[in-house]
Amino acid sequence: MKCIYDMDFIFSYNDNSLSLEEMKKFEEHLESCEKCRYAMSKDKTIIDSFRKEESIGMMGCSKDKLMESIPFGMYAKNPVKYHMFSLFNRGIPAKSVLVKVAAAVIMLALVLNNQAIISNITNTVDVVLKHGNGNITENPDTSGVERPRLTEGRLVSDSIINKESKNIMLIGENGAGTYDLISALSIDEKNKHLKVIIIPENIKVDYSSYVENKLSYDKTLDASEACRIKNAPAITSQMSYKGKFQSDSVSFLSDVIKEKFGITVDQYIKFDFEGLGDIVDLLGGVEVDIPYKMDYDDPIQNISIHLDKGKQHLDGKMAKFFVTFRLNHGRFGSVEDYDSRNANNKAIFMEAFIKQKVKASNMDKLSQLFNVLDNKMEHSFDVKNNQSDYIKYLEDVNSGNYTIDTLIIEEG
Amino acid sequence: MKTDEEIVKDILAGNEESFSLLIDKYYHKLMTFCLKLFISREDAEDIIQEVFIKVYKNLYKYNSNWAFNTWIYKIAVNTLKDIRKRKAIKTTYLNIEILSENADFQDGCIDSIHNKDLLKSILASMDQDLKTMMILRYYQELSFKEIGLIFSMSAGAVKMKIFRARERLCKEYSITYSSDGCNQSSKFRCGKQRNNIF
Repeated sequence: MKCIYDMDFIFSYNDNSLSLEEMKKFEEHLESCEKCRYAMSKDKTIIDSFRKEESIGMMGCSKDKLMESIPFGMYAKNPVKYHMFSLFNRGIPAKSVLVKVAAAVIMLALVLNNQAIISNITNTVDVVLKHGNGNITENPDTSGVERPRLTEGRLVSDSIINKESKNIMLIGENGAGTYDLISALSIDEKNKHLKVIIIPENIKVDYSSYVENKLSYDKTLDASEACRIKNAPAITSQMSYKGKFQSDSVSFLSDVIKEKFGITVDQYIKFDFEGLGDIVDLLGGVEVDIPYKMDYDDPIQNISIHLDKGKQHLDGKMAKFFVTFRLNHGRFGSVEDYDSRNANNKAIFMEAFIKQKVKASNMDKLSQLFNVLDNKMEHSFDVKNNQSDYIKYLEDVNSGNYTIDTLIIEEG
Repeated sequence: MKTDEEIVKDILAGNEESFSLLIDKYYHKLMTFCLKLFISREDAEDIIQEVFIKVYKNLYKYNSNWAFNTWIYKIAVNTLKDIRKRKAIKTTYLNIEILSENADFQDGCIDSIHNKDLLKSILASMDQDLKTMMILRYYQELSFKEIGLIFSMSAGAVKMKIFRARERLCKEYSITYSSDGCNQSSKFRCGKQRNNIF
């Protein structure tokens, strides 16, 4: 019988980076394939020779000699100076001197004008994605067994949401199997606050070696596209990932979001943009303040959509256009510009939608809304049994007890 | 026990005696790293001394977004490269204990001493950078990404280099066996097609 396993597969087996299912299959195969057993054995011998501890004996006098050779005194003499240098390097890693000087000036300005700047912050908060703040939190499995981390680096911030909030992840999927919208609606019952968090789909994720090892060597994560969070489904498809939700790709994404942003996803709704259009139409459209003129002409698909700057009433089709609009004509120049503006559209839309549509007159449409949810969207809600709980949330929001703000995660 | 970051903070705050904690933590690892690169113990001590002096002098530049051990190995790798440019480093054979637990696959054909010598000579002839990567990956258990940071290359490139090196080592090991008349050189098939996902 012809052997179907290649060396990379055998290496992954010896590295313990196959899924349980792959491992089991391969072990069954090993029983009957001498070549694979032989290759596996050779590779293991080689790898183990690298793993083997060396006998190096005591370091007693070597340590004294070492300590004597260190030119101590540098930090004891100037602790404040070097502490500041260190803080600075941590905040602004690997940038040119000019950038560091510019950053220093901005930091100084921030310290001097702290109060004035804080008082100017209104509704929207931008979080700069740094790989350094906060603490690493482990990612517990639903079964209580600790899982390997999916990402490297640390939490972007441990204060994006209140820890006791209930969080609903909203995912917009496009036809190509990537995510066009990733956001979380965080409901803080205690403080009566709703927070809409937009995670731009092009944000890059530092996947851990556990994830890297699940991919074959030619599908590595260094390709700029692969690390973007929107491509999480493609990674999941190689991993046989199991998690708290029935959908593996949603479980994977929710665990990545938990590790990276500290947001525990309690429920999710996944939709394509047709479903979004249906909901907007059901609720009679939504009024949105369009931030800039948008034109899109696609003669091949016979689509021509134009939105003027300023307040516009959007139906389902236009709403779908607005949240997915990309400046693909290079009008605003850089890719960053296009990404941040696209994320901003999503934030504007979601906030407008919640403010305008979660109101008493729409309560009677809830059952229809749940129907759309059930028929056109994938979600984790137990609509039948918990409908009254969701209605209570919506009534609270509607009664004006809740404040709302939006937060856009930005890659720094 | 203090974390590396806490120790660094302590030193930067003027408590320089904490530096001995870093030595306690990393001396053994660095020595093993050097010995696995077949560097003589005498040279390894000089190299480690130079590494720790550099670590001390540059500690304020350490960016805690990196794991400390990645940073210290980057310094060690660069120090080794510098020293190699300056002078020849004495290399030595180690007393590598090759596992005997795989002996069941070798059908007792090759005695373990011969086996050890064979592997030692294969490892000694490996490219330095590749060998360093393999040690960082399988002894120090750094991720492909961390090794990529040390060698200024992508995680994918590191993974590919390591996998290809393993393939080459396996082949050499098998062919040498075969020429000794003890086992067949294996021609490993690569039949499994993987789908392009990106």
